[in-house]
Amino acid sequence: MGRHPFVGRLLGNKAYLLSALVVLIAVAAAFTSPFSPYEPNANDLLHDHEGPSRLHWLGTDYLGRDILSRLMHGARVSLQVGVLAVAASYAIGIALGLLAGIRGGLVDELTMRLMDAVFVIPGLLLALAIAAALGPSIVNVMIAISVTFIAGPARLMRGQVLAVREFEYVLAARSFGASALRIALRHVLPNTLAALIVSGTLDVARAILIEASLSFLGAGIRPPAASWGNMLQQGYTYMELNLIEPFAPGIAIFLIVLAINLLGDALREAWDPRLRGTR
Amino acid sequence: MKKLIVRRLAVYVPTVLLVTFIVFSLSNLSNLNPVAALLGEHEYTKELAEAYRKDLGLDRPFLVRYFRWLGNIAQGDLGRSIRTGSSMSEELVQRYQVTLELALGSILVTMLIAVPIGIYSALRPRSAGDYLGTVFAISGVAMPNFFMGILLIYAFAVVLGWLPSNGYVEPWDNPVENLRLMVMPILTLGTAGAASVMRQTRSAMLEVLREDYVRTAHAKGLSGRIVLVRHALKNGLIPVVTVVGLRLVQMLEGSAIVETIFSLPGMGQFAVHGVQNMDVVAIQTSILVFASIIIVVNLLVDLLYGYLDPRVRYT
Repeated sequence: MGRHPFVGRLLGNKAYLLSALVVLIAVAAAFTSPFSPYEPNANDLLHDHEGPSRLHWLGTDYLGRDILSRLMHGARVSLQVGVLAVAASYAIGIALGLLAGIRGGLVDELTMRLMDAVFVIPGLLLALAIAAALGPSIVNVMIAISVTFIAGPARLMRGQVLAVREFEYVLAARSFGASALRIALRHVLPNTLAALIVSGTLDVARAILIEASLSFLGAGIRPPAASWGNMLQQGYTYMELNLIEPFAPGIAIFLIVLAINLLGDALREAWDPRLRGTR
Repeated sequence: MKKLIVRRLAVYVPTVLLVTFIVFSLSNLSNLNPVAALLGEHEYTKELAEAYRKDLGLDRPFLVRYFRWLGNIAQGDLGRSIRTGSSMSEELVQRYQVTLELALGSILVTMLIAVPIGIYSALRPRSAGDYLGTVFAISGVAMPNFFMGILLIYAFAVVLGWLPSNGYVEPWDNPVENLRLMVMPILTLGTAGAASVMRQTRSAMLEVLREDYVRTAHAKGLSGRIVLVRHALKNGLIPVVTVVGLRLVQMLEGSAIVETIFSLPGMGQFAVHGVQNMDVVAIQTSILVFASIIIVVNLLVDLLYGYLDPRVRYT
């Protein structure tokens, strides 16, 4: 453990270990969802609103569907949307930031003002409008969410390009005749990777929250497909009959977002020596 | 100070224009096309669609329509709902006070929870209280608004039966009932914001408490309370202003959810209804209004910051 300080620091952090475990469980649930105990949409109206039992570990919802199975399928939706939406927005955001930072001038000005504009529109509302405009599908939900995240990585990347431009190793690379693109990809990007991974991790958590919110408001994943957000919305209606219906997806969202946030914090602390020991 | 105001305003002008452009572009996405909304009730024929297009002026080029729309907004005409024909301006006048009450109440709750806990944590870092505060802050970030709202409804409306779970009464009609209806929505949004403000307060205070002038104040023999209030808090709370400003953005997002759960007829609910009804004018209006509020608040925070921190003013 002592041989690799970065890994050692991570393993020494109990909150990190616990969060990693939560994320691992969610990932496992998502991957095993095709083998869930029941079909997530299999109705069984004779056994609706049942509490936990040996047959249904978390009970059944208002259509008699197995809550555990639906939670597993919901985990897949949440993680898929969270990770893919953030990956897409970061790919575009990083490219825009590099472009703005390297080209400067009018390109920079236009790109960054556009990012400012995206930044002042509340993300959830923008995602709501785009998701509604494109129509209900998991891909459209991802597109809608990814648009709202582009400004963050673009600003980060551009700032980094401007910051390192005057550093000696970049000047040295330039004096060897390295092209701007090569400098960006070989020298600037790797130096920003840590910051990008930390902010990306935190954004995955936010993306999962936005997906859940969209689905809760009826503009995300539409029933009967299971998503934690729409399960919570449906379960809320029957709260007085079976408390698990809203609580199971609610707690699932809370735990996964909490775990991913803690993971992001732990990564940041492990990478940034200045933050070590401040908490 | 005057120079700072002019400089900041200049930065915001292109942002505002771009926001209007993005908002207007939304209407060109397939499902939000107003023709689709109008056709929804009739059988589709090419002639009818064409007639609607002409009627709405959609046969004109995109940029022409954009500038006409912008011109109307500049004159205060936000248009009418495609679905109900109601005037957007009237809707806003009816709805803004609900969201305003919700926002002001939540900010108050946020500050009342976050600032004392943040200061306590900074004064006693690594104590049990600090640890509890941190746990609270991290949980607050992860708690979705809608789940928090549902938990409160379950506790206070379903189990205890103390509070009504939804509806709205104007404060001047019945202040007591208004308060009873607003307590849970305000708590939902207020606790959500407390987390980030508490963390900011804690780290800002920790930084300030390490400063030389705080040590000097202690060395002069001033009491701990005076050092804290007169010297440390005054500077330590400056960055908190920024976080409270940022909170407003999340609060407006949250209002969409909270107003939906608690059936409050505010701006957030208006936006959600707009989306549910595919009413493009309502969607455009609500996004535009929310973005404008955020821009104005950002501007105010910038200026307030310049006022509070002389270093910003002179750079």
